[in-house]
Amino acid sequence: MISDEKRLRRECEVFSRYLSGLAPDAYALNKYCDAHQRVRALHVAAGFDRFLVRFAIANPTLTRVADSYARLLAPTSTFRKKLVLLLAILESSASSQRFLEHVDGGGKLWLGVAALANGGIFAVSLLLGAVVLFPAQLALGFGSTPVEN
Amino acid sequence: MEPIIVVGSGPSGVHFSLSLLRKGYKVTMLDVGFEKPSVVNPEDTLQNLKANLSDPARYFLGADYEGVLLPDEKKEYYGIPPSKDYVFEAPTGFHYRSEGFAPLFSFARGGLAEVWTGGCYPFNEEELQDFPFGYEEIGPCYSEVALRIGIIGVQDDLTRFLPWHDHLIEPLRLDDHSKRLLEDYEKEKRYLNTRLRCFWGRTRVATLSEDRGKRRKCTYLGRCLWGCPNDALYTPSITLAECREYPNFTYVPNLRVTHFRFNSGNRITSVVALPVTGGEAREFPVGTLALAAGALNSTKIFLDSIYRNTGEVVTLAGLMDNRQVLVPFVNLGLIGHQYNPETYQYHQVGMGLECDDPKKYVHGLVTTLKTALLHPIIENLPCDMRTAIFLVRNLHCALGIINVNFHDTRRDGNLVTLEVNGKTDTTRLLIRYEPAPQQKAEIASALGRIKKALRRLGCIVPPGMIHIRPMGASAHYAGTLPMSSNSRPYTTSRLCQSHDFDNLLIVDGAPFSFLPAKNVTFTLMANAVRVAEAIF
Repeated sequence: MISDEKRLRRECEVFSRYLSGLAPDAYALNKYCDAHQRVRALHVAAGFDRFLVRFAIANPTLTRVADSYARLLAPTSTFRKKLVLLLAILESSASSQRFLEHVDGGGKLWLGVAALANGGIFAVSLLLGAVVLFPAQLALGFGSTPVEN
Repeated sequence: MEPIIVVGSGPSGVHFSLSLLRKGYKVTMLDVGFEKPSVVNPEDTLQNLKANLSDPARYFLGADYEGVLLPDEKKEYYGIPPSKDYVFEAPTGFHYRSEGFAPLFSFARGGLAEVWTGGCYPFNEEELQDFPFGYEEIGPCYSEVALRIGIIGVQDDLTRFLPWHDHLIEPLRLDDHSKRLLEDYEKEKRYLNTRLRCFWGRTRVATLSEDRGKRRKCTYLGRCLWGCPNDALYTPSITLAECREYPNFTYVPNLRVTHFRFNSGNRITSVVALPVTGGEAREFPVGTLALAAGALNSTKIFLDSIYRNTGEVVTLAGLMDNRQVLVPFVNLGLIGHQYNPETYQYHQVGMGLECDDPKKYVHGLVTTLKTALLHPIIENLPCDMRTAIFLVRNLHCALGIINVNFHDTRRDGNLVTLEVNGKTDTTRLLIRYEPAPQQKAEIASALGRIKKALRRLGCIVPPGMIHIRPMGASAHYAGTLPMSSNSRPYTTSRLCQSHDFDNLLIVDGAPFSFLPAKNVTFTLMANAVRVAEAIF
């Protein structure tokens, strides 16, 4: 049940850019691939679950669309699990955790504006996700049997 | 001298043993005793660990990534890191089933208190009302335990709930958030005290602010949760190591005690234990037997012993545990501030809610967020992860959580018994628990007061984020073999001597008659000292 390494590296690359704004280092890439050999819950099922991962790895923007949609309408999808795994790996290493450490400068007013902007992007992403992904979810349903990528 | 056998190396067992060893008694301790892994890079801060370990993800997340909280994990999240998995490892042959209760068991050296957060809160006179002794009797034992383990504490507004005893030491430096909360409390205390009957102050914690023997004082590495590398944070395995330095102490690990044998005069003659690694059962002759395996484990040994000797399956009522509710909050004044990771990680601030009936006191431990892994928080926010990361990064310094504890009483419906498998002649523990009918209302009332108090301190509770933990999650189990002035079956004397077996002592939480809202571990240790000092 070992996932295809090339596809996993592609996932890690895109998801890391989405989460941290940076490409993953070699350590994160290796750990991401290693985890897929050890954690069965990360194996992509058929149907919409598979579609969601494929949709999300196109680029970081679509990852955000997929994530916004999945957070509310497919919270236990394999895609979300992959994101959480990568986030955990990134925050475990000093070289990749900085995006979680430092506050954004500019004071509280700026933070308020930035929070509103983030909220707005989330809302738009959710809307786009609903338009694109909801019909797909209806059509494909969730695959329940994990299969190899 | 007749052999004294102690079962279990948790807080009760080690302090009971230490008192006896100091008096010159010969003590044999039987224990499963799973060992903790060796400390890595003891001088590193948590942040430096991430840089200096060759495979940090393995340390923080585990070899099989078991420390990653994936979205469909329905089980209760304890935040216990993989390096402490040994605490919850169970030996083969130990089985239980529970209804309405999610128990935690430990067979580690030091027991469940190896993962405690060090809170040391003495019971006061009102909370001891249901016990056949008062504060005057146990007070000196609190002082003795404080001398042994090292507890930081100051006199402040929480002292009205926490009796002041000897041997408390200077507190640690506060982190910025905790400091701010207490400063804001000073400004608002008049309203909080009079209108909400809510009092805040410093918690008493078994952590060293000064070097003591082989233990070093806290150096603010931010690694409390991951296992203090300097032993500044006390755990019972430290006292176990101290016991092992006595020539009159024998420690026998890798054995799971299953039951004891007794004669027709109800005197225990021997105790039977199975090697964890398999093989024939071993039998140890008993002069006095002290069960200190934790309330549920000791209860199982007690029940199994009666079943193995007589065929009778006994049911014991009165199991207690503290209900815990987690109340996360955001301190609006600290949004956008940078947090300092090199701080003490566990709670240093607490709050108490006074009630008309002092036994219903509500106790809260206020933990400000420092060096925990953030992915479980980010994952749980109701937005996409990019937005969640932005929020957590900028709110990190402002986040905190209050672990609110509620009292419990002995009730008939909450019972522990055995289920016997006739085919294999094995037993498993059956635990049934139902919360008190009035608990919902008590929780709602307390949460209302806490939210108001937090608002006065400039904090908000994010909607929908309060979490009521399942019963069993606090691991403060007690009450199955209560102390009683009357010599009734399945009870103990005021000195925790069984009324059923002449030479049996039960020195963990099983004999407790009432469970206040406070962390019980300190009282477990003090009570074990009280029993040892009075009987021997």
